[in-house]
Amino acid sequence: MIKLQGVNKYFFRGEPREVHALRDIILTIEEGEFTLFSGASGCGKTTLLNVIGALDSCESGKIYLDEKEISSLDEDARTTLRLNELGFVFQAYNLIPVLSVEENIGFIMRLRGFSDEEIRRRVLEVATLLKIEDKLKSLPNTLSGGQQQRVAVARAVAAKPKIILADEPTANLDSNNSQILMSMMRELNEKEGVSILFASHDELILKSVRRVITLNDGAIIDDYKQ
Amino acid sequence: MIISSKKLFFLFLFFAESLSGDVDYRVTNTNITVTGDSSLQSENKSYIYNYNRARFYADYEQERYFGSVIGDIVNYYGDSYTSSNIFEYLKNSRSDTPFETQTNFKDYGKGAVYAKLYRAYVGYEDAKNRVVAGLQNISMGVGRIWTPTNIFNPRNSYAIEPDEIYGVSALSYLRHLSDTSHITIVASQNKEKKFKYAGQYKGYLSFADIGLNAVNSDKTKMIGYEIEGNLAETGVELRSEAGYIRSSLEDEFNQEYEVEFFQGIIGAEYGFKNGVTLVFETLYSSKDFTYEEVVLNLRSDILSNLVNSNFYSGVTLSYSLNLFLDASLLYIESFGDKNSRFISPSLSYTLNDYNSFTLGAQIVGGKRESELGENSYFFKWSLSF
Repeated sequence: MIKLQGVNKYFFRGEPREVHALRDIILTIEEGEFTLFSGASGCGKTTLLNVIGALDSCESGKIYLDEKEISSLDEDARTTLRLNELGFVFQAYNLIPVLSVEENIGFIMRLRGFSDEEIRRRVLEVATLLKIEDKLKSLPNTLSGGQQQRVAVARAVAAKPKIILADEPTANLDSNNSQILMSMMRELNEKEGVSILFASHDELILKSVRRVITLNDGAIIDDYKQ
Repeated sequence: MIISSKKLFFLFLFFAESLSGDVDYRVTNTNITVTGDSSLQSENKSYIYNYNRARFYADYEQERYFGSVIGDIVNYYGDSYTSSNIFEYLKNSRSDTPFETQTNFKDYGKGAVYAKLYRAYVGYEDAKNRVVAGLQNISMGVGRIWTPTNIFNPRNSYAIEPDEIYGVSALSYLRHLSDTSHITIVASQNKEKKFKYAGQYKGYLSFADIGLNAVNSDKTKMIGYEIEGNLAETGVELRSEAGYIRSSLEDEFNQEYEVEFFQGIIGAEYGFKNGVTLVFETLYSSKDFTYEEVVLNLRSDILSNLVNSNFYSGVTLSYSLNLFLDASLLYIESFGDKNSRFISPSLSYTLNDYNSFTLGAQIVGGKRESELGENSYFFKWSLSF
């Protein structure tokens, strides 16, 4: 489903402080995977997540999503791809403070042109799955951190993307809320069949996923299933 | 070093008292009772609440030096409003300054109260120069209803108190080039400690006042003009301001993208012999923005420029019925956005120099999700001493 062939990424290319952030990444991720990119800070896991998610570009190599090459797309095409095919969960939740939980969850669906009825039905469905259905009329800042992150996950999954990319989703949560979130994301992965890729160094995520890809200094040094 | 607004206030009072100049103190109180519906699309709720703003002024002047501190205590009474989502929105609106200018809201069950520093600045002025430092209003543009070139302190025509605008933390310097022209340079700092700069030239030509404006911040660049003058001997005052704006906005995945557009107004004002004053203004924007773009960019420099339509017209009519009674009407039509409109009539009674009463309404026509919000009705009284 996702294929990376010899992907290289640099920061500050040609400058004395040049960083080789991704080194010849060769990787295949199948449909429905529940996978973690792990490694120490600065190892390249977030960069890898960002190039897969078309949030960032790579200098060389190719990235395919369902046989379609996405690494050479221009900015407009990448924006369309992100909107239509991908879902994102960020460490800081990135919810819109003036929109209710219901509107936040349906936000990407609205941008994609779903009808009001479809949005209402789907929002209730994912909110129920994530146990936030009684919070739909609330504003994000009236919720706990764990609830806010569940709203962010609901928003990412509502528009039925092919892949969800989650960058340190548990970093701002305590262990209890992290556990709840991970078990819900696993349930989503199984029920909805959506692939979920994490970038994190959280032990809890490490124990929850089915596949772990470890990076060091921009290169994959380990790849195993558990 | 960040100094809290509370410390700034007391520092000012301390220095003002220890200097030899005069300090004038004033207090005003504005009270508005509002009934209406929530303007948030997701909230199907009506409310009634009372807004009370007690404002304290301390103005200092000694020869060429001056300073001013204005502080508010604001109380909202009415739990149907203070427990609403729209009130949460209000609680999250803060000044874009490196220091906090207000306290958190203290919820006491039936309502909520907070204190804020509205203005706090010191300055020096002589025949050639004027320097002001502190929390101040940087005024740009000549529009009465819209000021699209005012990237610093835009007004919100749809607010019940349109002139209530956050100050910016800035250092401004004005230099008179001649009796009829001056330049102003401004440097301000925002919440993220990033600087925003502005430059303005203003001069009087034989037929009009003209101004050239430029603004530069890490996200926004604008060049613009403003012009205001009389149409021959007709008594009609014409005005126009416009800017070419380039700015970075954020999309739903926090990716920045650039927008470039032109936005401007033309308008006219005429005072009839019977006491009626008519102001007409029309706003054109070469780019319109979706509701989603607006809510994703609430902290943008150009939030007030993110209009939902390309074209708006507005009229204000004001009339002094007698020495005590003034009537006014504001009408705004949005020609995009499925032709929504905003009508705000009001009637003010001035009892004396210290007391006035206003009865008014803000009536919206068009779809519920139109940009202009929902209907509300208000009664306002203000008192000063």
